[in-house]
Amino acid sequence: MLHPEYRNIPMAVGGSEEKRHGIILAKNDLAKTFHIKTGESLRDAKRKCPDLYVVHPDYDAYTYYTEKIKDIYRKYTDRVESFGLDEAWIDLSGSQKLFGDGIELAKAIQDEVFETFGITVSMGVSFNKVFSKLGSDLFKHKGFIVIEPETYQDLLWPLPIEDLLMVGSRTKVHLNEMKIFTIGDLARCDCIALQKRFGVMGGLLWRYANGYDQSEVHLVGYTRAPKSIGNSKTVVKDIHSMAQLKEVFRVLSESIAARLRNQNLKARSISIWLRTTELKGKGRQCKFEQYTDLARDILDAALSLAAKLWDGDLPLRSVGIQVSELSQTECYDQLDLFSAPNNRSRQRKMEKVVYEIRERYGYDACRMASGQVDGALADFDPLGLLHQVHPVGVLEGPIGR
Amino acid sequence: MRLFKYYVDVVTLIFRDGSLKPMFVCWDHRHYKIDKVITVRETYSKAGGCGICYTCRMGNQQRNLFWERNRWFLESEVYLPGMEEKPQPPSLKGQ
Repeated sequence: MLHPEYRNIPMAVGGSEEKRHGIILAKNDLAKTFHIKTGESLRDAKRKCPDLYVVHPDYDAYTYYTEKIKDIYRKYTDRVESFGLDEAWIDLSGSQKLFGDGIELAKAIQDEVFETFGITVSMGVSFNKVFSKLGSDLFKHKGFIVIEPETYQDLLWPLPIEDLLMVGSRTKVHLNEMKIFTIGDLARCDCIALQKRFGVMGGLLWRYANGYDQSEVHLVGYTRAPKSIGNSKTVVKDIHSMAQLKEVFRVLSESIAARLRNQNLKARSISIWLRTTELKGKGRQCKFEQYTDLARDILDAALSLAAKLWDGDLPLRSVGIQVSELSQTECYDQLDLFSAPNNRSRQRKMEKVVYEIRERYGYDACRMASGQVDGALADFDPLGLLHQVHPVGVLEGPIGR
Repeated sequence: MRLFKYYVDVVTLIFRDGSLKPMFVCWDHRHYKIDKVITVRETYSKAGGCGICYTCRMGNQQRNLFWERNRWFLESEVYLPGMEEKPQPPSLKGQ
């Protein structure tokens, strides 16, 4: 939309090769004809199509325009639920008295988006969320399909099983083993057998295939509480030693701890994920001794996990930390027999101050000296505070006499 | 006919309600007075980009001036080499 001239050449959006983010994130139709796939390296893509034009992603513009498009949806209903950044479910059943027939209204919304932004959106209109998502994926470029209770069997049941929501590549293999190849096969098979094979997911998939999904579209502003918080990083150069890993983990754990504290959460378990230069990933998890929101605890646990998982044989290319089992309830710090009673509260206070300094004056205002030894490795800011310098208010609270 | 877009400096009057009125387009050290804003609507440009489109009359010429997020661009059928926007460097967000 911003550069219509790219429509006539094979073009892809890809990260920076120098920063080792060089993978294909999205591609246009001409690039698709060269069998370029999302997620493959830029080098492989260039091999397939030497004339491929690669542009860098503009995340700010992407989020800005997707939100503006959702603003159009929100004009017609208060039930708009985002599914990722660029997809959304819209419930128009309550808007029909005001704006007319739902199908006509959906078409009008599609036209309005195109006229305002020059962007085509494909729509699937149906009686439940699963089928509308499926319908929207059927026809690209301003595609429009209405799936009604009378027609869904003819339209959707012949489709391959992987088109159904929640069926990924692994589930597909398992379903194929059960001689289930289409959505119709799934709908007609025995629900009990599916439940035995896949547990609760089996019943869910069977209900999805039969159109029994009754989940509602959430109201605008609805947010789901997070189940885990994590940060990962593909480092600019390989990690060869534990000392280097510690510096990267320090930045990641500080970011995770700050995010936990900002949401008044504490975590009970931690998992780490390491990816070697051979692009093989491995992970491990453990529990903290108590619920925590301290970067120090996260870093210590992550390092002890890494020591068990990695012996430095292969250099690391990307690493990640994730904490889960989050709790928002007031969890008091468990006292320790051998350390000062206010040890943890002082540490928390210190970490908060460091975060506040960074929030006000930018990430560079306060860095660990140890991070400067190998500057390039730990020179990143997962919280995005690197270039944020907020003006500081002079007055706080009422003016005293 | 192919259209091209050029980001330009515009002297703008901002009203109390937040609406904008472009007054002069500044181009190559010259100011071009906008005599009349004919229509205002939210739409996209065939030259790329979208925003609030102000169809303006400048002398005997009619041009579309777009308010795109936080800056102005002018739509024109004239191609001026070197005046187009340069490709953006990779974003530093999250680095």
